Amino acid sequence: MKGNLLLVDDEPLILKNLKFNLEDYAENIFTAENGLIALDVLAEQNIQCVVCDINMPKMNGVEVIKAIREKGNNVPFIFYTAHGNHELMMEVAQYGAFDFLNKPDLTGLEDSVIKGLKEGVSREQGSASSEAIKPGEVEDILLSLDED
Amino acid sequence: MNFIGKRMAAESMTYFKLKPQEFGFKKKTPINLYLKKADGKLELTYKKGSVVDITELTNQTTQEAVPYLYSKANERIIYIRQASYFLEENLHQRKLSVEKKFSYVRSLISILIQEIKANGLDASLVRDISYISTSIYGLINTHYNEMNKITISPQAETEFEDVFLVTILSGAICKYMGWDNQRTIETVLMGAILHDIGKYYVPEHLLEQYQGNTSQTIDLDVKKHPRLGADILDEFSEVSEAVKQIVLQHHECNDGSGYPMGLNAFKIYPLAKIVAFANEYSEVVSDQRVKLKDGFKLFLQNKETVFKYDSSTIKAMVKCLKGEVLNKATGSNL
Repeated sequence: MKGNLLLVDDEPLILKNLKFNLEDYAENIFTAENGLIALDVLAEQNIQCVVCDINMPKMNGVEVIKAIREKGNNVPFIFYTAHGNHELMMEVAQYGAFDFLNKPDLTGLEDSVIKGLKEGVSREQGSASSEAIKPGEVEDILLSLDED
Repeated sequence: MNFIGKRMAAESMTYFKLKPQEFGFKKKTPINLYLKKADGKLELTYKKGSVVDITELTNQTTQEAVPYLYSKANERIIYIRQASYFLEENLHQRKLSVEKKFSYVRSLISILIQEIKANGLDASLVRDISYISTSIYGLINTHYNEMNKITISPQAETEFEDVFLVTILSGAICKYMGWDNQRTIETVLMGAILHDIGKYYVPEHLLEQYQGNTSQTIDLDVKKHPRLGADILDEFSEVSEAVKQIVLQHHECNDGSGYPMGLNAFKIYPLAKIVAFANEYSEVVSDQRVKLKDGFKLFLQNKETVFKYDSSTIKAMVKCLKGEVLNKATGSNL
Protein backbone atom coordinates (compact mmCIF):
# COMPACT_ATOMS: atom_id res chain seq x y z
CA MET A 1 0.00 0.00 0.00
CA LYS A 2 1.50 3.32 -1.09
CA GLY A 3 -0.71 5.52 1.09
CA ASN A 4 -2.53 8.79 0.46
CA LEU A 5 -0.75 12.14 0.41
CA LEU A 6 -2.07 15.61 1.27
CA LEU A 7 -0.30 18.72 -0.07
CA VAL A 8 -0.96 22.03 1.74
CA ASP A 9 0.31 25.30 0.23
CA ASP A 10 -1.30 28.66 -0.50
CA GLU A 11 0.41 28.84 -3.93
CA PRO A 12 -1.80 26.99 -6.48
CA LEU A 13 1.13 26.67 -8.90
CA ILE A 14 3.28 24.93 -6.26
CA LEU A 15 0.41 22.53 -5.49
CA LYS A 16 0.02 21.76 -9.20
CA ASN A 17 3.77 21.14 -9.69
CA LEU A 18 4.09 19.01 -6.57
CA LYS A 19 1.07 16.91 -7.47
CA PHE A 20 2.53 16.30 -10.92
CA ASN A 21 5.98 15.38 -9.58
CA LEU A 22 4.82 13.20 -6.68
CA GLU A 23 2.01 11.27 -8.37
CA ASP A 24 4.07 8.09 -8.77
CA TYR A 25 4.73 7.79 -5.06
CA ALA A 26 1.19 7.96 -3.60
CA GLU A 27 -2.06 6.07 -4.04
CA ASN A 28 -3.99 9.35 -4.17
CA ILE A 29 -2.88 12.96 -3.83
CA PHE A 30 -5.18 15.57 -2.27
CA THR A 31 -4.45 19.29 -2.27
CA ALA A 32 -5.47 22.14 0.04
CA GLU A 33 -4.84 25.86 -0.53
CA ASN A 34 -5.19 26.69 3.15
CA GLY A 35 -5.20 25.07 6.56
CA LEU A 36 -8.98 25.01 6.94
CA ILE A 37 -9.38 22.99 3.75
CA ALA A 38 -6.52 20.74 4.94
CA LEU A 39 -8.39 19.99 8.18
CA ASP A 40 -11.52 19.08 6.19
CA VAL A 41 -9.54 16.73 3.93
CA LEU A 42 -7.90 15.09 6.93
CA ALA A 43 -11.32 14.59 8.55
CA GLU A 44 -12.82 13.02 5.43
CA GLN A 45 -9.93 11.06 3.91
CA ASN A 46 -7.51 8.49 5.20
CA ILE A 47 -4.20 10.37 4.81
CA GLN A 48 -0.83 8.73 5.52
CA CYS A 49 1.45 11.73 4.97
CA VAL A 50 1.13 15.54 4.76
CA VAL A 51 3.46 17.94 2.94
CA CYS A 52 2.83 21.39 4.42
CA ASP A 53 4.04 24.96 3.94
CA ILE A 54 4.59 27.06 7.08
CA ASN A 55 3.68 30.64 6.13
CA MET A 56 0.07 30.60 4.95
CA PRO A 57 -2.91 32.93 5.39
CA LYS A 58 -5.89 31.88 7.58
CA MET A 59 -3.94 29.08 9.31
CA ASN A 60 -0.17 28.75 9.33
CA GLY A 61 1.61 25.39 9.33
CA VAL A 62 1.95 25.36 13.12
CA GLU A 63 -1.79 25.87 13.60
CA VAL A 64 -2.54 23.10 11.11
CA ILE A 65 -0.32 20.48 12.79
CA LYS A 66 -1.47 21.58 16.26
CA ALA A 67 -5.13 21.12 15.30
CA ILE A 68 -4.39 17.71 13.80
CA ARG A 69 -2.46 16.49 16.83
CA GLU A 70 -5.25 17.69 19.14
CA LYS A 71 -7.54 15.32 17.28
CA GLY A 72 -5.15 12.47 18.15
CA ASN A 73 -3.91 12.12 14.56
CA ASN A 74 -0.18 11.25 14.37
CA VAL A 75 0.13 11.43 10.57
CA PRO A 76 3.75 12.26 9.50
CA PHE A 77 4.18 15.91 8.52
CA ILE A 78 6.87 17.06 6.11
CA PHE A 79 7.44 20.82 6.22
CA TYR A 80 8.39 22.10 2.77
CA THR A 81 9.21 25.75 3.20
CA ALA A 82 11.17 28.69 1.86
CA HIS A 83 13.59 30.22 4.41
CA GLY A 84 10.81 30.48 6.95
CA ASN A 85 9.95 32.19 10.18
CA HIS A 86 12.41 30.86 12.80
CA GLU A 87 9.98 31.17 15.73
CA LEU A 88 7.31 29.22 13.84
CA MET A 89 9.80 26.49 12.94
CA MET A 90 10.93 26.20 16.56
CA GLU A 91 7.29 26.02 17.67
CA VAL A 92 6.34 23.42 15.08
CA ALA A 93 8.97 21.01 16.47
CA GLN A 94 6.92 20.39 19.61
CA TYR A 95 4.09 18.84 17.56
CA GLY A 96 6.42 16.41 15.78
CA ALA A 97 7.62 16.69 12.21
CA PHE A 98 8.89 13.86 10.07
CA ASP A 99 11.17 15.99 7.88
CA PHE A 100 12.10 19.54 6.94
CA LEU A 101 12.87 20.41 3.33
CA ASN A 102 13.82 23.76 1.89
CA LYS A 103 12.04 24.83 -1.29
CA PRO A 104 12.81 24.12 -4.11
CA ASP A 105 14.55 20.82 -3.19
CA LEU A 106 12.22 18.55 -5.13
CA THR A 107 14.56 15.54 -5.22
CA GLY A 108 14.86 15.64 -1.44
CA LEU A 109 11.09 15.97 -1.13
CA GLU A 110 10.47 12.93 -3.33
CA ASP A 111 12.72 10.82 -1.13
CA SER A 112 11.14 12.18 2.03
CA VAL A 113 7.58 11.58 0.78
CA ILE A 114 8.39 7.93 0.03
CA LYS A 115 9.67 7.51 3.59
CA GLY A 116 6.85 9.61 5.10
CA LEU A 117 4.13 7.55 3.41
CA LYS A 118 5.81 4.32 4.51
CA GLU A 119 6.00 5.63 8.07
CA GLY A 120 2.35 6.78 7.95
CA VAL A 121 1.19 3.34 6.83
CA SER A 122 3.31 1.73 9.58
CA ARG A 123 1.89 4.08 12.25
CA GLU A 124 -1.64 3.09 11.23
CA GLN A 125 -0.71 -0.56 11.53
CA GLY A 126 0.87 0.05 14.93
CA SER A 127 4.41 -0.80 13.82
CA ALA A 128 6.06 2.60 13.60
CA SER A 129 9.82 2.97 13.44
CA SER A 130 10.04 4.75 16.80
CA GLU A 131 9.79 1.77 19.11
CA ALA A 132 12.16 1.28 22.02
CA ILE A 133 14.33 -1.81 21.95
CA LYS A 134 13.06 -4.71 24.06
CA PRO A 135 15.10 -6.18 26.94
CA GLY A 136 15.29 -9.56 25.18
CA GLU A 137 16.67 -7.92 22.04
CA VAL A 138 19.38 -6.20 24.06
CA GLU A 139 20.48 -9.57 25.46
CA ASP A 140 20.53 -11.08 21.95
CA ILE A 141 22.65 -8.20 20.63
CA LEU A 142 25.12 -8.51 23.49
CA LEU A 143 25.47 -12.24 22.81
CA SER A 144 25.93 -11.70 19.08
CA LEU A 145 28.63 -9.08 19.71
CA ASP A 146 30.50 -11.55 21.92
CA GLU A 147 30.37 -14.18 19.18
CA ASP A 148 32.21 -11.93 16.67
CA MET B 1 19.85 34.52 31.20
CA ASN B 2 20.28 35.57 27.61
CA PHE B 3 23.30 33.97 25.94
CA ILE B 4 22.66 35.31 22.46
CA GLY B 5 25.59 37.24 21.08
CA LYS B 6 27.62 36.65 24.23
CA ARG B 7 30.04 33.94 23.34
CA MET B 8 31.79 33.31 26.62
CA ALA B 9 34.23 30.51 25.81
CA ALA B 10 37.63 32.14 26.12
CA GLU B 11 40.43 31.67 23.64
CA SER B 12 43.19 30.33 25.87
CA MET B 13 45.51 28.99 23.18
CA THR B 14 47.59 31.25 21.01
CA TYR B 15 48.84 28.17 19.14
CA PHE B 16 47.04 25.11 17.91
CA LYS B 17 48.71 21.76 17.52
CA LEU B 18 48.41 18.69 15.37
CA LYS B 19 50.25 15.41 15.08
CA PRO B 20 52.67 15.21 12.15
CA GLN B 21 50.93 12.07 10.88
CA GLU B 22 47.63 13.99 10.75
CA PHE B 23 49.20 16.76 8.70
CA GLY B 24 47.95 15.77 5.27
CA PHE B 25 49.77 18.13 2.99
CA LYS B 26 52.29 16.30 0.87
CA LYS B 27 53.79 19.34 -0.77
CA LYS B 28 54.05 22.82 0.69
CA THR B 29 52.67 23.84 4.05
CA PRO B 30 49.94 26.50 3.79
CA ILE B 31 50.82 27.85 7.26
CA ASN B 32 53.91 28.57 9.35
CA LEU B 33 54.80 25.55 11.48
CA TYR B 34 56.64 25.55 14.79
CA LEU B 35 58.33 22.72 16.67
CA LYS B 36 58.80 22.55 20.44
CA LYS B 37 62.45 22.58 21.43
CA ALA B 38 64.06 20.92 24.47
CA ASP B 39 63.63 24.08 26.54
CA GLY B 40 59.91 24.06 25.80
CA LYS B 41 60.00 27.08 23.50
CA LEU B 42 58.42 27.00 20.07
CA GLU B 43 60.65 27.66 17.08
CA LEU B 44 59.52 28.50 13.56
CA THR B 45 60.80 25.47 11.65
CA TYR B 46 58.79 25.45 8.41
CA LYS B 47 57.79 28.71 6.86
CA LYS B 48 54.57 28.89 4.88
CA GLY B 49 55.27 27.51 1.40
CA SER B 50 58.16 25.28 2.44
CA VAL B 51 58.11 21.50 2.04
CA VAL B 52 57.50 19.43 5.19
CA ASP B 53 59.02 15.95 5.35
CA ILE B 54 56.60 14.06 7.59
CA THR B 55 58.72 10.89 7.58
CA GLU B 56 61.67 12.82 8.90
CA LEU B 57 59.50 14.37 11.61
CA THR B 58 58.00 11.12 12.82
CA ASN B 59 61.46 9.54 12.96
CA GLN B 60 62.41 12.14 15.54
CA THR B 61 59.84 10.73 17.95
CA THR B 62 61.24 10.16 21.41
CA GLN B 63 59.63 8.10 24.12
CA GLU B 64 59.41 11.09 26.45
CA ALA B 65 57.23 13.31 24.35
CA VAL B 66 54.58 13.07 21.68
CA PRO B 67 55.71 15.31 18.84
CA TYR B 68 53.27 17.91 17.64
CA LEU B 69 53.40 20.55 14.98
CA TYR B 70 52.27 23.95 16.23
CA SER B 71 50.85 26.90 14.36
CA LYS B 72 49.54 30.26 15.46
CA ALA B 73 45.83 30.35 16.22
CA ASN B 74 45.25 33.14 13.73
CA GLU B 75 46.31 30.75 10.95
CA ARG B 76 43.83 28.08 12.03
CA ILE B 77 41.19 29.22 9.56
CA ILE B 78 43.71 28.94 6.68
CA TYR B 79 44.54 25.42 7.82
CA ILE B 80 40.84 24.48 7.98
CA ARG B 81 40.19 25.73 4.46
CA GLN B 82 43.24 24.04 2.95
CA ALA B 83 42.66 20.81 4.88
CA SER B 84 39.06 20.67 3.67
CA TYR B 85 40.30 20.90 0.06
CA PHE B 86 42.80 18.18 0.88
CA LEU B 87 39.99 15.99 2.28
CA GLU B 88 37.87 16.47 -0.81
CA GLU B 89 40.76 15.36 -3.03
CA ASN B 90 41.84 12.43 -0.89
CA LEU B 91 38.93 10.86 1.02
CA HIS B 92 37.77 8.89 -2.01
CA GLN B 93 41.30 7.67 -2.90
CA ARG B 94 41.48 3.91 -2.61
CA LYS B 95 45.27 3.96 -2.11
CA LEU B 96 44.90 5.84 1.18
CA SER B 97 44.06 3.57 4.13
CA VAL B 98 40.71 4.09 5.87
CA GLU B 99 42.54 4.53 9.18
CA LYS B 100 44.51 7.41 7.66
CA LYS B 101 41.31 8.96 6.31
CA PHE B 102 39.67 8.75 9.74
CA SER B 103 42.70 10.42 11.30
CA TYR B 104 42.56 13.32 8.82
CA VAL B 105 38.85 13.83 9.53
CA ARG B 106 39.42 13.60 13.30
CA SER B 107 42.18 16.20 13.14
CA LEU B 108 40.22 18.61 10.95
CA ILE B 109 37.09 18.37 13.12
CA SER B 110 39.15 18.97 16.25
CA ILE B 111 40.73 22.12 14.82
CA LEU B 112 37.39 23.25 13.41
CA ILE B 113 35.75 23.04 16.84
CA GLN B 114 38.68 24.94 18.38
CA GLU B 115 38.14 27.69 15.80
CA ILE B 116 34.40 27.89 16.49
CA LYS B 117 35.04 28.04 20.23
CA ALA B 118 37.61 30.78 19.78
CA ASN B 119 36.02 32.99 17.15
CA GLY B 120 32.44 31.80 16.73
CA LEU B 121 30.76 31.06 13.43
CA ASP B 122 30.69 33.24 10.36
CA ALA B 123 29.21 32.67 6.92
CA SER B 124 32.50 31.53 5.37
CA LEU B 125 33.10 29.00 8.17
CA VAL B 126 29.56 27.69 7.70
CA ARG B 127 30.37 27.17 4.01
CA ASP B 128 33.58 25.36 5.02
CA ILE B 129 31.54 23.05 7.27
CA SER B 130 29.12 22.35 4.44
CA TYR B 131 32.09 21.55 2.19
CA ILE B 132 33.63 19.28 4.84
CA SER B 133 30.28 17.49 5.25
CA THR B 134 30.28 16.73 1.54
CA SER B 135 33.80 15.27 1.77
CA ILE B 136 32.87 13.14 4.79
CA TYR B 137 29.81 11.92 2.86
CA GLY B 138 32.28 10.50 0.31
CA LEU B 139 34.13 8.73 3.10
CA ILE B 140 30.91 7.30 4.60
CA ASN B 141 29.62 6.19 1.22
CA THR B 142 32.81 4.24 0.50
CA HIS B 143 33.75 3.00 3.97
CA TYR B 144 30.43 2.77 5.88
CA ASN B 145 31.14 -0.88 6.72
CA GLU B 146 34.62 -0.19 8.14
CA MET B 147 33.67 1.87 11.17
CA ASN B 148 35.19 -0.75 13.47
CA LYS B 149 38.58 0.48 12.21
CA ILE B 150 38.12 3.72 14.13
CA THR B 151 40.55 3.80 17.02
CA ILE B 152 40.25 6.05 20.03
CA SER B 153 43.28 8.21 20.57
CA PRO B 154 44.44 8.17 24.23
CA GLN B 155 45.80 11.71 23.86
CA ALA B 156 42.79 13.25 22.13
CA GLU B 157 40.73 15.72 24.10
CA THR B 158 37.38 14.13 24.93
CA GLU B 159 35.32 17.01 23.61
CA PHE B 160 36.88 16.94 20.13
CA GLU B 161 36.94 13.16 20.00
CA ASP B 162 33.23 13.25 20.82
CA VAL B 163 32.33 15.52 17.90
CA PHE B 164 34.39 13.36 15.53
CA LEU B 165 32.66 10.17 16.70
CA VAL B 166 29.15 11.67 16.70
CA THR B 167 29.72 12.89 13.14
CA ILE B 168 31.17 9.72 11.63
CA LEU B 169 28.77 7.37 13.43
CA SER B 170 25.68 9.46 12.64
CA GLY B 171 26.58 9.36 8.94
CA ALA B 172 27.14 5.60 8.98
CA ILE B 173 23.92 4.88 10.94
CA CYS B 174 22.01 7.02 8.47
CA LYS B 175 23.36 4.90 5.65
CA TYR B 176 22.37 1.66 7.40
CA MET B 177 18.89 2.98 8.18
CA GLY B 178 18.17 3.66 4.54
CA TRP B 179 18.28 7.45 4.91
CA ASP B 180 21.07 7.16 2.42
CA ASN B 181 20.73 9.83 -0.20
CA GLN B 182 23.52 12.40 -0.34
CA ARG B 183 21.40 15.34 0.85
CA THR B 184 20.19 13.49 3.93
CA ILE B 185 23.59 12.19 4.97
CA GLU B 186 25.22 15.59 4.44
CA THR B 187 22.44 17.17 6.52
CA VAL B 188 23.05 14.71 9.35
CA LEU B 189 26.82 15.22 9.14
CA MET B 190 26.48 19.00 9.32
CA GLY B 191 23.99 18.72 12.20
CA ALA B 192 26.39 16.36 14.00
CA ILE B 193 29.41 18.64 13.54
CA LEU B 194 27.38 21.58 14.88
CA HIS B 195 25.24 19.71 17.43
CA ASP B 196 26.87 21.39 20.45
CA ILE B 197 27.34 24.83 18.92
CA GLY B 198 25.07 26.29 21.61
CA LYS B 199 27.34 24.85 24.31
CA TYR B 200 30.28 26.88 23.05
CA TYR B 201 28.28 30.00 23.85
CA VAL B 202 27.25 28.89 27.34
CA PRO B 203 29.58 30.36 29.99
CA GLU B 204 32.31 27.82 30.76
CA HIS B 205 31.91 28.18 34.51
CA LEU B 206 28.34 26.88 34.15
CA LEU B 207 29.47 23.92 32.05
CA GLU B 208 32.16 23.08 34.62
CA GLN B 209 29.71 23.32 37.48
CA TYR B 210 27.28 21.17 35.53
CA GLN B 211 29.64 18.19 35.58
CA GLY B 212 28.14 16.02 38.30
CA ASN B 213 26.19 18.88 39.82
CA THR B 214 22.47 18.52 40.17
CA SER B 215 21.69 22.14 40.95
CA GLN B 216 18.44 22.92 39.17
CA THR B 217 19.53 26.45 38.21
CA ILE B 218 22.65 25.22 36.43
CA ASP B 219 20.65 22.41 34.92
CA LEU B 220 18.16 24.83 33.40
CA ASP B 221 20.84 27.11 31.96
CA VAL B 222 22.87 24.33 30.35
CA LYS B 223 19.74 22.70 29.02
CA LYS B 224 19.13 25.79 26.94
CA HIS B 225 22.08 24.97 24.67
CA PRO B 226 20.12 23.08 21.97
CA ARG B 227 17.71 26.00 21.47
CA LEU B 228 20.58 28.48 21.66
CA GLY B 229 22.40 26.48 18.99
CA ALA B 230 19.39 26.56 16.67
CA ASP B 231 19.04 30.32 17.23
CA ILE B 232 22.71 30.89 16.39
CA LEU B 233 22.41 28.85 13.19
CA ASP B 234 19.33 30.80 12.13
CA GLU B 235 21.64 33.74 11.43
CA PHE B 236 23.05 31.84 8.44
CA SER B 237 20.87 31.35 5.39
CA GLU B 238 23.23 28.54 4.25
CA VAL B 239 22.07 26.37 7.17
CA SER B 240 18.98 24.34 6.31
CA GLU B 241 16.00 23.99 8.62
CA ALA B 242 16.78 20.27 8.95
CA VAL B 243 20.23 21.04 10.40
CA LYS B 244 18.72 23.53 12.87
CA GLN B 245 16.15 20.95 13.96
CA ILE B 246 18.86 18.33 14.52
CA VAL B 247 20.71 20.79 16.76
CA LEU B 248 17.47 21.74 18.56
CA GLN B 249 16.44 18.12 19.20
CA HIS B 250 19.74 16.30 19.79
CA HIS B 251 18.98 15.76 23.51
CA GLU B 252 15.40 14.54 23.08
CA CYS B 253 14.64 10.94 24.11
CA ASN B 254 11.85 8.53 23.18
CA ASP B 255 10.50 8.37 26.74
CA GLY B 256 10.06 12.15 26.95
CA SER B 257 12.87 12.60 29.48
CA GLY B 258 15.03 14.67 27.12
CA TYR B 259 15.30 18.40 26.64
CA PRO B 260 14.56 21.18 25.72
CA MET B 261 10.99 20.12 24.79
CA GLY B 262 10.61 16.69 26.37
CA LEU B 263 9.31 15.25 23.10
CA ASN B 264 8.51 11.58 22.94
CA ALA B 265 8.83 8.81 20.36
CA PHE B 266 7.28 9.80 17.04
CA LYS B 267 7.45 13.55 17.75
CA ILE B 268 11.25 13.62 17.57
CA TYR B 269 12.69 14.41 14.16
CA PRO B 270 14.07 11.06 12.86
CA LEU B 271 17.45 12.55 11.85
CA ALA B 272 17.80 14.16 15.30
CA LYS B 273 17.18 10.73 16.86
CA ILE B 274 20.21 9.37 15.01
CA VAL B 275 22.46 12.19 16.25
CA ALA B 276 21.00 11.91 19.78
CA PHE B 277 21.84 8.22 19.90
CA ALA B 278 25.34 8.74 18.42
CA ASN B 279 25.90 11.52 20.97
CA GLU B 280 25.00 9.32 23.95
CA TYR B 281 26.98 6.34 22.66
CA SER B 282 30.04 8.42 21.67
CA GLU B 283 30.16 9.90 25.14
CA VAL B 284 30.60 6.40 26.59
CA VAL B 285 33.37 5.58 24.09
CA SER B 286 35.33 8.81 24.47
CA ASP B 287 34.92 9.01 28.27
CA GLN B 288 35.96 5.41 28.86
CA ARG B 289 38.60 5.36 26.05
CA VAL B 290 37.38 1.98 24.91
CA LYS B 291 36.98 0.40 21.48
CA LEU B 292 33.71 1.13 19.65
CA LYS B 293 32.42 -2.39 20.21
CA ASP B 294 33.24 -2.37 23.93
CA GLY B 295 31.67 1.06 24.30
CA PHE B 296 28.54 -0.23 22.61
CA LYS B 297 28.31 -3.10 25.08
CA LEU B 298 28.57 -0.62 27.96
CA PHE B 299 25.87 1.50 26.33
CA LEU B 300 23.57 -1.52 25.96
CA GLN B 301 24.16 -2.58 29.56
CA ASN B 302 23.06 0.80 30.90
CA LYS B 303 19.35 0.22 31.41
CA GLU B 304 18.77 3.86 32.25
CA THR B 305 19.63 5.00 28.74
CA VAL B 306 19.34 2.12 26.27
CA PHE B 307 15.53 2.16 26.23
CA LYS B 308 15.45 5.85 25.40
CA TYR B 309 16.46 5.25 21.78
CA ASP B 310 14.81 3.59 18.79
CA SER B 311 15.24 -0.10 18.29
CA SER B 312 15.86 0.57 14.58
CA THR B 313 18.74 2.97 15.35
CA ILE B 314 20.38 0.53 17.76
CA LYS B 315 20.04 -2.32 15.26
CA ALA B 316 21.59 -0.15 12.55
CA MET B 317 24.55 0.43 14.88
CA VAL B 318 24.92 -3.34 15.38
CA LYS B 319 25.14 -3.84 11.61
CA CYS B 320 27.58 -0.96 11.40
CA LEU B 321 29.88 -2.49 14.03
CA LYS B 322 29.67 -5.87 12.31
CA GLY B 323 30.60 -4.20 9.02
CA GLU B 324 27.65 -5.64 7.13
CA VAL B 325 27.64 -4.83 3.44
CA LEU B 326 24.43 -3.23 2.18
CA ASN B 327 22.57 -4.47 -0.84
CA LYS B 328 23.12 -1.72 -3.42
CA ALA B 329 19.77 -2.37 -5.06
CA THR B 330 17.72 -1.86 -1.93
CA GLY B 331 19.99 0.40 0.12
CA SER B 332 18.98 -0.58 3.61
CA ASN B 333 19.02 -4.17 4.80
CA LEU B 334 17.01 -3.37 7.91
